[in-house]
Amino acid sequence: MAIKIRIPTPLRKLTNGADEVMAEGGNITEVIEDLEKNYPGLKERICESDGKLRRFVNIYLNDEDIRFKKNMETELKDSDEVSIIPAIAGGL
Amino acid sequence: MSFLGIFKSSIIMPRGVYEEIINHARESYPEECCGVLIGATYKDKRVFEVQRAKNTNTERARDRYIIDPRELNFIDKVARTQGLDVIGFYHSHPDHPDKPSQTDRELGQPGYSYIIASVKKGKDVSLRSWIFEEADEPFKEEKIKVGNY
Repeated sequence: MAIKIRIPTPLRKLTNGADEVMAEGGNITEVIEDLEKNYPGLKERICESDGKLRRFVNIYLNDEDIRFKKNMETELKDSDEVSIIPAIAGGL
Repeated sequence: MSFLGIFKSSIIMPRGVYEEIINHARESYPEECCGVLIGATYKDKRVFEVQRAKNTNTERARDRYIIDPRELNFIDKVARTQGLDVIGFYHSHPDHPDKPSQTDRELGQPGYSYIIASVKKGKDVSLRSWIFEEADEPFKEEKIKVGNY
């Protein structure tokens, strides 16, 4: 199943500058494993060593945060769009 | 990309965008404002518009900001329909300099431009833009150029 993945600026050095890539998989974990095959280094920027989503990374399936769905096990279908959204914060 | 680190890279924006950031910073004082820079990178980085974002760090709005990722996802999608991209962010430092703080660096993301607005006593506002490309690099200043295109 081919899923469109939106890549944010901080990760585009790993996708040769592409802002969108395609990946195969039936859930978020599988898609990230597939991304890692084609774009080595991407997985560790998204996931902790135990495979959980990093604290400062958000993944949206269409318009929903996967943390409010089944997290990394959230199922995907063909027309889905996955967006990787970095946490944006700062201050004094 | 700077040449031997001597020349600053630059970020260009229309006068209206520049003034919108200043107005948002003034209106939010003494709290921090935040927003999204929407534009494109050609030879130079160009901002076409800014979108105000809600500072969701309501408990520490005077010295911290957080942009809601849901709002950012929405802004990114709208930008893409216009052939544009999220190229960075802005936020204000009430009564503090327009330089990145340690918190800004710790929470910053590589490749984005970060415009910081210093607001003194709710009136005087100055803007500077900062960027780092690699996770282990410090912020470097980008020259802000204001002009119409």
